[in-house]
This record gives sequence, structure tokens and C-alpha cells, in this order.
Amino acid sequence: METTFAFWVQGISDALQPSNLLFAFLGCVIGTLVGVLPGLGPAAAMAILVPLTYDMGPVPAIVMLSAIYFGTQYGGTITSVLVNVPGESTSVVTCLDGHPMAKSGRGGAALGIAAIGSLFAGLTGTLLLMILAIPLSSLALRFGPVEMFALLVVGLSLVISFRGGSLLAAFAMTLVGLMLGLIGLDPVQGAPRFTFGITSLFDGVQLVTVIMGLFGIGELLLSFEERVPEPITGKINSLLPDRGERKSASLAILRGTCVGFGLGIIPGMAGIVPTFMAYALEKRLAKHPEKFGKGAIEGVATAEASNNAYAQASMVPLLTLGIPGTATLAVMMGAFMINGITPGPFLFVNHPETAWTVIGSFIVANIVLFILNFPLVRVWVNILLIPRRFLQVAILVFCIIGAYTLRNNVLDVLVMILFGVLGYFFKKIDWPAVPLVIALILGPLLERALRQGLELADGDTTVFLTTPTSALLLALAFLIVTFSLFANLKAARAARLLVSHTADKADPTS
Amino acid sequence: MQGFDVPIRKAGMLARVLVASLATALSSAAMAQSDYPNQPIRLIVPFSPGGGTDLGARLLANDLEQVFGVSVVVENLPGAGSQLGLTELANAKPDGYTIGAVNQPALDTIILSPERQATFDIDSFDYIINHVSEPIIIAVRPDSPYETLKDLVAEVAARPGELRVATSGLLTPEHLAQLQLEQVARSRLRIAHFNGAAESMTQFRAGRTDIAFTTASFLEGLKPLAILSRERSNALPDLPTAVEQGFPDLVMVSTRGFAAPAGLPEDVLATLRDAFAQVAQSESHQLKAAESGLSVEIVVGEEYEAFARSNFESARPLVELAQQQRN
Repeated sequence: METTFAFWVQGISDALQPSNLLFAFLGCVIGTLVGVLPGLGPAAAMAILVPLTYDMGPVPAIVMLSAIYFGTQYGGTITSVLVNVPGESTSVVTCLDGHPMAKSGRGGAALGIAAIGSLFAGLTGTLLLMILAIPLSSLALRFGPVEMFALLVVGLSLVISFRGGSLLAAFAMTLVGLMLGLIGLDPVQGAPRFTFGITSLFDGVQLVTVIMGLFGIGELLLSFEERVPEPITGKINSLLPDRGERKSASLAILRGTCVGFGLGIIPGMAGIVPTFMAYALEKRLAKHPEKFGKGAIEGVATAEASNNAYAQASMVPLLTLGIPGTATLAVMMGAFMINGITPGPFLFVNHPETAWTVIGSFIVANIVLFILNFPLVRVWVNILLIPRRFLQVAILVFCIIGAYTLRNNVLDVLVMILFGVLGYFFKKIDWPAVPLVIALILGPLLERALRQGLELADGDTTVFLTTPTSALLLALAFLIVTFSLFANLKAARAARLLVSHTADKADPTS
Repeated sequence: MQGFDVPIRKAGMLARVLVASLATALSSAAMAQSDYPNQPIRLIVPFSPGGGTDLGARLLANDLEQVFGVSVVVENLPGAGSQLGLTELANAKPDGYTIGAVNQPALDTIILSPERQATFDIDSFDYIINHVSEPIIIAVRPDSPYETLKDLVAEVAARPGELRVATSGLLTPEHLAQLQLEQVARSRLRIAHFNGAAESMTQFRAGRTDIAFTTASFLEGLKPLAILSRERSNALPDLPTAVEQGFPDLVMVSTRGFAAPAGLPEDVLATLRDAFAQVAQSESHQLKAAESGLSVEIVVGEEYEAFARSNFESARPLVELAQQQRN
């Protein structure tokens, strides 16, 4: 316990070093900006900025990217409340009551309570993360290639929960991702696979270029098509909620934090789920449930608390197990990996300083974000008035330069553009890009672990079933897949029944 | 504070690369060799910024600028285990304005593996200087019953296909040394490939492998049995070499040097060799290199060329053995 505490102190004090503090601040500003601008999500923004972090060294890079992640959660609120367009998908729920509050002149109070709730949830979430990190990662040394293989299978099986359109689409995208992961030199035999004689492909497709393309360029192309309504900026007066509002919001914040963290810790949980559940819970407990949807401050408070607690909690499976639950976390994992650090059980063993500094920076980021979003909120409101075409061109140029500077290689730019077009296309047909990216990240790790495990066991394939931890994890993966399949079939059958029912009713002869 | 200066340097570097390549393009037609160098020199590092090779190259580049009076621009061209950067170096104009870092055995294994389809070979370069040498060390756990390399070789010979080892990647120096040990003991090891030395050493510390093939920086808490250099290392004077323990075929040192595309005018090559030797042997450089954890071993000119070629020839049978093992 004492050493844990020493790590906490070390992490926070390292996070306060000028360079880390600067990058945390920079990340907060960028994150809030991204959150404020509708259309540009955290995954896209981080994907675009990853090449910039390439030369920073791992700690400042991760510090900045995580600050961006949390910043988007704060910034998304502003757009939700004032424009009624969720800046981020997790802010959808904030719109429900935030915008009605803005219309009735309580926009300031809505933004204020959102910032307070976010700060509380962010700090509580980080504290829980700090407590959980060591016990979870103490399993690390027990994780050899065999156990790692099983853990990665679990990670891959969770990909199914990302179905946008259909389960089939998620599976197909997972397979595409796995196949993309095969490109390059075979890690055990050195044979080139799917390289078509191009030496630049010997290391495989560069993860960052794929991510930048799918999320950065893809979203950029989509944003050309969107229209954004005018913001309500005139009516922001006092940010402080009045006494009655404060009283009803404080319990909502506490409950939102619990729901957000509790559900967020489950790998693969989409951020919108805990936020909606916290909102529903609040509505059920409220004395005046009819006020919800018409400007109830509890609704804003609980939604913002839960999405920030979720953001912290989602770091737990990423940092301790190496399972990236969402697109944003997949980008984050990519950023770790291009900086030579693989998140997972070994993070806290091999790179404890890095891990704890990053966690320490979460606290710093939350405080900086509170300052940016509470006293300085009016600055961000003005950003909503900048014409978006300027930003779009700047982002495009930035992406191209970023992709080139990764390896000073033109091929990487072409790969990024290709995946940009693909990303746009996938969005249009509603095929989720996240399974592709996660499979591309986990696939090569999975192959390595499989072959390492086999080599060390002298080719004995039963080793994956006779090792207890591995057997347990594989069983879990099996359960996840079967459960999802059944749930999906059931839903499909229900839908079919419904259709035939309505058809029956429509038929006057029956 | 390190985080501050790196991106700025990178931006400056980009600008300098642009200027350098423009200058090369403009003046390459009318080149007077006698006043070499009169324009920026491009130094290709075929690895990512921040690694050991990059570090050494940047230290030297700084000092070379003082000697030459022109800028020496480090350009990182990572990828395919240095094959991308080496291809670029081999194809560059042999005028002394493009030079690069070459690491062995990486260079050798790329040339010797047919599936790599390398467009260069060992003759594609003019060799300037060897800068750093890092011998592989064979170690076991402190509580292990083996006291000498002989004990270990006997054990490997007695238990073919049982002892487990990890590499830091396919055909890395660690892997080649394991292949040597297999040959010396006429036996077989279970070889698993990991991604980098940190990962492979984690496996050893967790007890999943039996023998560690590593370098000096990972020795803490281990019992080293032999160093695979020809002579004892200055940093570890008490550690006997495998050669002196009766195994003359167990020699595996990873080396980092500098070369230019083959066909350099003789006076230019001589100028480069002299300048590199002057800089690398200076006291200030030796001090800085030692601080950065680089084990400097200077071999200059023709001597380095012979050294590189003999390294290449000793890698050949090992790469062939690796090819056979997979079939």
C-alpha cells in the first residue's frame, strides 16, 4: 500500500513538471475546442494529432492525448446546451434538458452545473482508477504469451458489441481488420505477406495512417455535408446555479458518477449507454419527472457527471488489460504503441513512471478543464461563430503533413487518403469502423502471442486449454460470442414476428 | 523538459532537409570535388528518432558540422528493419553528400534473406567508420546450477528441444547467437520471437525462458556466463568471453557504423574517413557517448571495410540455418 501511495505522489508530481503541464494544458484546449465544434469527434481529433506527438516522447504524448479525450467530454456540453447539437455522442443526453434550459434563459446555470459535475466525476473517477490499477495489473507477471493470447481473444470477441448496422457488418469489419494486420513481414519466419513487392509495406500498414484516414479524413468528408444550426449565445448570464438548482443537482452528480464509472469499467461499453442509464435513473427518482426534457437541471448534471466518470473508467481496461473499448481508446492505444509502450498487464511493471505520470495528469487535466470551462466558458461560445470551412481546410492540410512525417514516406499519405475514402463510405453504409481498427491493433499481437506460446511449449496446442488463466479467459470469450449471437437472433426473430403480426392485422380476411 | 526541444528541432530539420535536397539537385551537375564539402550533407538514419542509432548519429552529426563547416542533416527513414533507409542510401549519388548509418547484423540478414528482395548487397557501400559495438551476453538466473558456459553447453547438448529462449525479434543478434549455440552444442533450443529486448527479458524474469541472450544494459540481477565478443569488454572486465572458455565459434556483436553509396571519389572517401575518425576519437565525443550509454569502438577506413565484410561472412551460415529450420 505504501508503494502504491509513493507511485501516486510520483505520478502527480511528474504530471506537474512544466513540460507535462504544458502538454496537458494544450490537450485540454484542443480537446475543448474539438468538443465545442460539432462533427469532429475525439477519435478523429486524436487520430489527426497523433503524428504530432511522435517526437514528444511517450509521456507528454499520452498526457496530451488523454487531456484531449477528457476535454472533448467537457467541450461537447457547450454545443449541446447552446446549439442543441451534441458536440460528442456522449453529450446527446445533455441536449435533452440543457437546450431547454438555454431557451428559458438558464443556459449559464446549465453550463455551470455541467462543469461542476464533470470536475467531481472526473476527479472521483481518477481516484478509483488509481485504486484499481495496481490490483488489476498485479496479475501482469502471470501473463505469458499463452495467457496473453487468451486475453486478446476476449478483446476481439468484445468487438461484436460495436455493431452499427448489423452483427454481420461487425464480423466482416473485424475480418478485414485482421487481414490488414497480416500485411508485412511474418513475425516468426520473416516471409513477406501481401506486400506486392513494396518494401514500405514490410512493417504492415501504419496503424496511425489507417486511424487518421478512417476517423480524421472520413469525418472531415462527412462534415462537408452537415449543416449546423445557429447557437443561442445571447442569454448566458450567471454560471452559478441558484440554491434550489444546486440542491437538486448534487445528488444527481453523485449518482451519475457511480453509474458512469461502474458501467465504464466494462471493456467495450459505448459511452452513451451509462449516460442514458444515469439519466433514466434520475428521472425515475425525481419528484417531478415531468420536468425532464423541459429543462431539469438534474438531467444535465447526471448526464455530464456520468460521461466524465465513464471517460475515466474506460481507461481502466485500456491501461491494465490492453483492451481498447472504443474508437477513441483504440486511437489512444495506437498512440501508446507508436511511442514504444504497449498498454496491458505489463504497463505498470515495465513502465510504472509512464503509467503513473499519465494517471497523475488526468487529475491535472480535469482541473485545467474546469478552469477552461467555468470561468472561461464565454471564449468557447465565441468559437461557435467561426466559419467551419476554414477549420476544415486546416485539418486536411494537417492530416497530410502528419501522415508524411510519420516515416518521411509518401506511401503513408496515400494509405491515409485511401482509408479516408473508405471511412466515409463505411459511415454512409453504416458499417462500423471500430471493429476494423481494433482487429488491426489486436490481430498482430494475437498472432505473435499464439506463435510465442506454441514455440515455448514446443508446438503443443493444448497448452492454451491446460493453462488455467488461459482456459478461463477463452471460456469467457466463448460466452461473450454465444450470448451476443443469441441476443441478436432473438432480436431478429422478434422483429420478424412484429412484421408478420402487422401484416396479419393489415390483412382483412384473417 | 526534453519534450520541448524535440518538436522544434524536428521542424527545423524538415526545413533543412528541404534546403539540402534542393541544393543537392541544383549543384550536383557542376561539382568540384576538391572543395568537398561545400554543401549540406544528408545523413540517413534507417531507424526511428530516439533510438540508439539515431542518438549516436546525432551526436556525431553535431561535431561533424564543426569540422566540415557545412550542415550535416540527420534524416530518419525508418521501416522494414532498416531496409527502407539502406535502399535509399545505396541508391543515392556517390558524391559524399549522402551518407548513412549501417547496423550489422541487420544489414547482413536483409541481404542474405532471399524473401527480402534487397536491391543492394555488401558491395553497394563504401565503408567509413565503425562507431559502436555491443556484444551479446549469455546469462542465467542467479540460483541456476550452471557456473560456466561449458556447463550450460553440456546441458543444452543433453536436453535437445527442451531449453527455452526468447529473442528480441527474428534474425536479431540474440537470435543469431542462439543459432550459434545450437550449432556448438549440436542440439536444439525452443526459440520464441518477441518484440524488442524489454519483452524478451520480461519472459526470462517471469521464468518462462531458461537462458537469457541479452546486452550489458539488462544484466542487473542475472548471472552472466559469457560475453560473445572476441576480447573482454572494458565495461565488464571480469566477464570471460566464450572464446577464452573454449568456444571460438560463439562470437556475436551487433555493430553500428557509417557508410556511403559505393563508388565515392577516393579523395572524398578519405576526407569523410578522416573527419569521422577525428570527431569520434575526440575526448568530448567519447565522454558524451559514454554518458548516453553507447559502447564506442572505433574502426576506421579499410580496416572497417574488412571488418564489415567478415561480419557479413559469419552471418551467412546462420541465416542459411534459420532458413533451413523453418522448412
